[in-house]
Amino acid sequence: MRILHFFITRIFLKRWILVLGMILLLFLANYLSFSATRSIISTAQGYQEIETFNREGNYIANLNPESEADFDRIDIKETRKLYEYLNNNHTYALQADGFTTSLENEHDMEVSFNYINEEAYQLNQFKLAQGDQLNFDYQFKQDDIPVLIGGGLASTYPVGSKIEITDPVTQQAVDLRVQGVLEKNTHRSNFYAPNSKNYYNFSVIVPVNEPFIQSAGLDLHLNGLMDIVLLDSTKEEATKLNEQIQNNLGLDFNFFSQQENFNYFEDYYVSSLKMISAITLVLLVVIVCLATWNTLISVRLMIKDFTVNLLVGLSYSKLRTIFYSYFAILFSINLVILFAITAFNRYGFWMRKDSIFATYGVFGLISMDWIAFLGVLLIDVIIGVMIVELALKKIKGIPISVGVLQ
Amino acid sequence: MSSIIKLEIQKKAFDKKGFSILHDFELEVQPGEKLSIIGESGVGKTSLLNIIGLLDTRYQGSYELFDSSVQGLSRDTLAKWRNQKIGFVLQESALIDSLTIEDNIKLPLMYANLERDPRAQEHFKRIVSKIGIESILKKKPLECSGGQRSRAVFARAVIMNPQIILSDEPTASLDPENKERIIDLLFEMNREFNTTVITVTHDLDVANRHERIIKLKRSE
Amino acid sequence: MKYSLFRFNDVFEASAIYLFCFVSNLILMYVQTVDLEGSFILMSFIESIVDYQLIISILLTFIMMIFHYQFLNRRKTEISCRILVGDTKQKVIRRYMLNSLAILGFSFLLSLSLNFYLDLNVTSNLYLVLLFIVYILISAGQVKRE
Repeated sequence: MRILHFFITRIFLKRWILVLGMILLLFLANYLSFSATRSIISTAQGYQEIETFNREGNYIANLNPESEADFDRIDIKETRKLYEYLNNNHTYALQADGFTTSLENEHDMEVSFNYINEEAYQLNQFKLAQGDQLNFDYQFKQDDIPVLIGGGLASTYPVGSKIEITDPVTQQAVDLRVQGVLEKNTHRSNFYAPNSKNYYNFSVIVPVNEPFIQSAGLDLHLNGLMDIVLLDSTKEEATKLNEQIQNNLGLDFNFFSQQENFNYFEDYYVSSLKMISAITLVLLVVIVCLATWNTLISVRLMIKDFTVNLLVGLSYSKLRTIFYSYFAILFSINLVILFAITAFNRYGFWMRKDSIFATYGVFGLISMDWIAFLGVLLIDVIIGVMIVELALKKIKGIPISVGVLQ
Repeated sequence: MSSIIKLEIQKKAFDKKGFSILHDFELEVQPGEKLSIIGESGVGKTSLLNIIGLLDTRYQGSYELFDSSVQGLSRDTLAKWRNQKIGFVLQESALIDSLTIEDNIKLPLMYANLERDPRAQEHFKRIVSKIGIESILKKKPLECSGGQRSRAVFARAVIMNPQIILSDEPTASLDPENKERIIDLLFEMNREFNTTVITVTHDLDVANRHERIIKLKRSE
Repeated sequence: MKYSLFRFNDVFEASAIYLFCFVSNLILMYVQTVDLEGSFILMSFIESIVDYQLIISILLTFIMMIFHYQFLNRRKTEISCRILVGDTKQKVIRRYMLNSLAILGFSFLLSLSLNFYLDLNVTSNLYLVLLFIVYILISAGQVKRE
């Protein structure tokens, strides 16, 4: 420890520009690998969620991006008719997020209402921290509506409490009864952008049944349609439904089968992930080359210091330990900076009252961040070993008797 | 009396092409002996000193130091022996420029974990006072004269009371007064502690003051 | 080259670093103009990098600072020798600055070809040039002999 302290304070830090340069380069490498790893983990997480819907006989709706959609001319009567058709001819999973409303809570966050029908709920049941799962057989306008709430609302609205509010989609005064509290950081990934997520920590999950849908406004009808999943259906039925939508609403939808989705995911996700990995790898190689250049320069400038120490009793194995410890310190500094930036970003969502991104976690970081940190640590170990071994090879290549007289 | 150094070099390759500088060479040195090695430039004097001083182990042959074979010793053990049993007196530039003279001299103590040992501190004071460099202890090497730096190099070499002192052209860049001083210090160590002194030099005057002279010759 | 502190290797190394900084800056600017709407995953990853384009580009220029530092450290003996044989420190500094500026100018001109190829504004790298000039001025103060 004393020898390490001596080397750091009396040899390395005497040339602080080189140390600072190394910290900057390693930070870039760490930031890059952190971003890439997190993107990959987030996409993989989202893909897992999508797989629960992407089964044989299921058709996931997607508004044809090439079609022209004129939402202004769509009338509620037409969407009601469409949902009637859906109820009579299909089993479907419906989920619509992001209807924000103001509901008092201790963090002053805007609360978002998320609507889910029984089929969607059964396919992907939420894990609860408290209370019971949702039931869908309530009488709309008569009974209290049982709801699940996010962890951030749990202290203000404990299980069993009642929330009186004007529902944002029906615009009617409703009584909600808190049936359960979601586990912290419960989220939903977007179907066709699996790395982007909506967190439900400040959400109210409202179960919707047929009467509710019929009473709801145009927003829920259209929003629900965008990600609707036809269950146990056929291509013909899906095509028929698309015709209905086109006739009633003038919108053109694609209903992708399991195989089509697989193909799409294969093309889109895999190629995106390959691209991310390739970009990261190329940039990492460049950064590692620069870091190696910086190390070799440092060795060139400090060779006398190293060899004099070798002359008076330092062994190469001790020198190796010193180098590894030194790089471990540099990497730790970078990881701490990276940690601070990530925690600050996560905290920023709370500061900006951005409720769909506000998350809970150990020191503000969620599990995805910690896994990405592990990935970064692994990459750091590889970079560290490469640089240290190269530096030692260079030092060993210079005879001690030549180095001391440099 | 058993030899402190028993060295037999069959071949020492100088470069990757296998150009040989030392071959069929044998050397035995007794404890307390004063030995000088002379010879023209490039004949392998410094290479020989590097082998004796455990800085170079890449040669064919055998080497027994303090009755133990050097071959097979780990790099850590070689470093420990360099720290505790061998002192190197090199040219005045062999000091770390960013450290003070005091820190440079105390460097071997750090590796022996004796930095805070009171006896080592006492020994340090005795040596710097004997060598006469108290006034420059807080200075950096570049702020000192050549003679002062040479004395600092000498102090560092003897701070651990080594059994062997290896010096490579210790007086090469010194004026007659400082040259005399360094040679006196070397021999004083030899007298007081029975330290073996091996000196590589070009200076015949210096060489002649040793008990034995070895002249290295280029092979025909 | 006879009077210069720079050898071919140094010129090559310095040009490579300048070009690396210019090219990275241009690429970071270019990807902002590319339409990645079709790939949300890739777009959000690239955004996480290009959002910090300015910081990354400036941080990368620090490599040039390292180059100047190590270069002048290695040249201390040579500077001493030159002064010994009749050169002056002022002349050495002046030549060092001129040589550094020439390498910078050459690299900048070379990087302009990428500007044209990627259809980017020719002024995109100018702020880096200014920064590099500041580095040259700072490092000129570090021209010292042993």
